[in-house]
Amino acid sequence: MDSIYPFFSQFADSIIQKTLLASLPSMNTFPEKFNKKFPEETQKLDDKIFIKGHFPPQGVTVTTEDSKTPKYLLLLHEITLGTDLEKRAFFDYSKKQEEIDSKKKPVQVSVILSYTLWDNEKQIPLYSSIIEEQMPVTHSVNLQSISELLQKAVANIPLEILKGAKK
Amino acid sequence: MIRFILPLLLVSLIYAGDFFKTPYTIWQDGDYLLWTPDDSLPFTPKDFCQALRRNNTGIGTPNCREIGEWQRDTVSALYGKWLAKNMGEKLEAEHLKARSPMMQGKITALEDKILLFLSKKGESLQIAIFDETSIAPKTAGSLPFSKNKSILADQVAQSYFDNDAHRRLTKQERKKKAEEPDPYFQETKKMDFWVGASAGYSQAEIPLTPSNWYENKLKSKVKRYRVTRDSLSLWNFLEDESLVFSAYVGATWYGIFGGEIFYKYSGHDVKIDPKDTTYQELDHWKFGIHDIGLTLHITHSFNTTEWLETSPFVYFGFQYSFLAENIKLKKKVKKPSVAYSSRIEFEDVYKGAVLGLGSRFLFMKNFGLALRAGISTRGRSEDTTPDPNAVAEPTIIGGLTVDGFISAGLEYHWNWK
Repeated sequence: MDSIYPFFSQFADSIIQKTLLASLPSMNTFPEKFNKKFPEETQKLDDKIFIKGHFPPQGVTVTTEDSKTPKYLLLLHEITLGTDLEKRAFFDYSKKQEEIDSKKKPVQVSVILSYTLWDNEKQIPLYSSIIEEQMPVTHSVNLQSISELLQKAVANIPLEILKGAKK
Repeated sequence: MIRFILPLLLVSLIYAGDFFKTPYTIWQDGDYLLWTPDDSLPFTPKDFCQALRRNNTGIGTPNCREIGEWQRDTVSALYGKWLAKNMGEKLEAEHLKARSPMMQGKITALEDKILLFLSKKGESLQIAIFDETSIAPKTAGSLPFSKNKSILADQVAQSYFDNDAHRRLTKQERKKKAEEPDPYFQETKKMDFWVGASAGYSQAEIPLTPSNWYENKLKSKVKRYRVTRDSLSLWNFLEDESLVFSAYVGATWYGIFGGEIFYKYSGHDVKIDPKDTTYQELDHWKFGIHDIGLTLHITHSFNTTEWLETSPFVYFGFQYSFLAENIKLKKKVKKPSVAYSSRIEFEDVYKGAVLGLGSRFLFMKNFGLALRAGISTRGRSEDTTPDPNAVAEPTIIGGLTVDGFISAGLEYHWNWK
């Protein structure tokens, strides 16, 4: 196997679940396969910012295996891990012409995360956002520091949602 | 306290009005499809058709039916259910768009039919109107629900279908409209060249101006071949009301600027006083006015239909006028009177301006009909500097002559793109 994806996927899943459960104790988790059944669509956040993801279709409520209907769904669309990444380079259409110069030496480790809070009863998006977290590269980057970075990014989700709910 | 709150709550629950409104076309003799996610329609299609005809006199004979195939179809039933649940105030069309590609396809295949979505929510009836141009409702709103079906249908027709109805397009016209570029990017003709002939009518009196401006000139008669009240205007000597015939060639560049060279002819009798016995020797006396001129046009074209282009224009320019005398004594008169020999003479040429506006209707790209109205003047041509030593300048005949005209012309056009 020449890809680190299966490994990273498992690793990230466990960190995300743990982090989110800490602030959202009543959370259920659906496997990734479940989400992939839905058609892929583009969601407009702004005049020029678009995210892509799988959203439940109109008129269909999602139920858990024990046939409960959750009120809200948190859809995680995409997690990108890399060096010196910026979220605008991925999601901002007005920046698509810009070229990023290649650097020989990475300065930062970056995580970019896009998600949507979904109203399962009405099938409408409530809140979508893109989170970017950076960590400066010191003399060594190990799994521990990457997991800390991921935790930091994911911990933003409940904060942002709460901030939005208060408005 | 509770009693006070209750009516307030009721008022806020029954919201009547538009959630959002974007313009949509109402077709004459159109097809109206009624769609509901509820068990039954709030009014029958027949009720609705009658309500349309009662509330919009120009709507012709609409054809209404329930769109059962959508109500049975899973994709549209899901969207219908969703739409009924999510419609509400403070929404934009974007929020209510159909997301499923199959549903989007169904809406865009409506062609020129109008789809009316109806669902009962609490004590109000929610309405959304779809047409093929958008995958979201064009307009959505709600009305207070009424059990009386024809009253409810009337309310819907009144609130959403009282605008002017338009003729339904043919298949070809619709295809052309779909392929037509945005009017701002439309290809304009490089040059439009035409030849034409027109007939019209001219008179001294210009509508909407006080009649005392003309009174003197129009009443004036020519006595003893030369005596008039005044000689400033030619209309002191000549009948002003006359038919005008003209021939012209012209061209428009890039649909904006144009030029035209024209020749005009009109015949005018001299206003002789019948009481004056001097004229007993005279058979007839008239003048023909020949005008040659050049005008500049500013125009703008609209593609009204596939076969008709309408271009309103304004134009202005100058003209030279020549008066040709046509006089004849009665056959038995051998020698004319002295007055005849010393009768008035007009200048060789008069110079004047033309100012007008009109509209050209171009049928099938080649056949034009131009209607125009305007004012033309004729004045004395000042091509010699007056001698300062001269005594008083002799009376100028026709110092300034003004008339208004209308005309209709037939044209043939050649276009270069």
